[in-house]
Amino acid sequence: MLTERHLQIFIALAEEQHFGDAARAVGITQPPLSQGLRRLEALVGAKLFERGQGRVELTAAGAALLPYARRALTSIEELHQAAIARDPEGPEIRLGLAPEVPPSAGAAVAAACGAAIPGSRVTVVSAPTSSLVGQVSAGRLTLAAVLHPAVLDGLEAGPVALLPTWALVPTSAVPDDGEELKLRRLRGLPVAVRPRAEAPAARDLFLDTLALHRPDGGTVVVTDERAGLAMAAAGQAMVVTADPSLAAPGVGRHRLVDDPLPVRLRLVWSRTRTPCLRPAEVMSQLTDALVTSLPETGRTRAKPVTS
Amino acid sequence: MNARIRAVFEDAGVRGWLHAVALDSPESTVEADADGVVPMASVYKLPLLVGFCRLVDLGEIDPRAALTLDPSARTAGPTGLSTFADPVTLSLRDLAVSMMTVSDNAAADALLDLVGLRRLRELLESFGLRRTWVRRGTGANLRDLQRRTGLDDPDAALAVLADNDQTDPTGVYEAANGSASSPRDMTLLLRRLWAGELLSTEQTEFVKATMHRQLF
Repeated sequence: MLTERHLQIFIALAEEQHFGDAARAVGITQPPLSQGLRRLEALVGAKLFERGQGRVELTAAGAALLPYARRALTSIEELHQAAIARDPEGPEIRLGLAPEVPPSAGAAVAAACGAAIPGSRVTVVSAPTSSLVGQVSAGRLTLAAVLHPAVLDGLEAGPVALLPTWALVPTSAVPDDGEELKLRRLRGLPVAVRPRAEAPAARDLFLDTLALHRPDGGTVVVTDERAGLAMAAAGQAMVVTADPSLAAPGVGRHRLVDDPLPVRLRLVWSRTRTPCLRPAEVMSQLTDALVTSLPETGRTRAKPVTS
Repeated sequence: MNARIRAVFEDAGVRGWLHAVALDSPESTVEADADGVVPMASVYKLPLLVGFCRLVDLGEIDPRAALTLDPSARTAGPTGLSTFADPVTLSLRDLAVSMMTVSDNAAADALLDLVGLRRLRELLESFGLRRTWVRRGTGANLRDLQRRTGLDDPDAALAVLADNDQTDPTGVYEAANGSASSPRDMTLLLRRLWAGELLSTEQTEFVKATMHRQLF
């Protein structure tokens, strides 16, 4: 019997021209992929691919049948979508946001989830990156916006979105003139950072970059930006944030020259646990929402995925 | 122990797979996901070395035979022959020493060509390795990376992997796409090697001495 999986294998192999890559695209390992292909070839009574040295190429029969396979798979996807749309409850999307995601950006992603999957119910939680990754892996969350780099361990992930940051600096240290600052000028003032265990890899990258630009000054660990802002107001620390709205009397807001400490975010989800999301298109829409929600989007450095 | 190892991996911001075994009491092991099949990177030089020495034992390869490597055909890399400007002639066993002591990519690819992927696969099977596949060397890895990034310049392609602002190209760290092994398979190889079960006394000593001279 011809199944949806056979069609996915056929199309993925035609697109990737590589067994390992195609298996990854379908979300299975190589042996079932090869087996699925053999079964499909037996079912249609034709050899669909030439297998060469590490490469896979469509045969004439494969090229002739490919458009039919695409059409059939599209129809099946439309059937899924129609079924979801008819569900009176609608699919539930549980979204997780790392604390470094600015409130406006998090709100934009949640709104975009609702728009991308009509009829869906969106619930949102905030938690550190390491906790969110675990919750997505365990299926407790549908997707999450987390700091990059992080250990994702088999999860799917979208492109890296770079959010430019500001330094919130006590006016006692630097006048609140809105001038762009060099990090080096802010020597001696500790940078408020969140606990390392929340996102070890991203935190180490932050500290390494900081040390490159500003060898002294150190950091002070705070529980959240609220505490960091209060310390800045007291003249005890500076805060590096992507949040355009965080402000307090006695604290000035400055861009840093060359934006050396952007917040890097990625959306992560589990391929096996979220079949209702059609990740490729939906996820790039949602990643766009992260970035474009912020003012001065011209300054962001979101790069396309290289693949 | 296991929780402590996982905590170390987590703290380092890495995903780790580990198997350690005491040579004199194989039942004493430390492991964390020891059967996971992961890309081997430069570790492929170890099974290649053992395969090479087996062919020496079988009389199929003369370890003193000289080979000349031309810079235009050598695999790039940060150490050893990879860094030289001019043609180099040396014996096959010295090539093996350079491959192991400084993780020389040019020397390793030359030896891999000599042994051959198919022959090496048979040898690894005969060693009892069931989850180890040497599918290509460093030069082919680099060409695959160039294809996936669409960049002709090897340095530019490698820079993509190091860039914190970009995602890695799909598939570069997939075990199914390149040379791969499991931690338990690698300790099995080392254990059998150290016990003298895989090679003659002379070749076993050569491997041990070479590995003792590893700079890193």
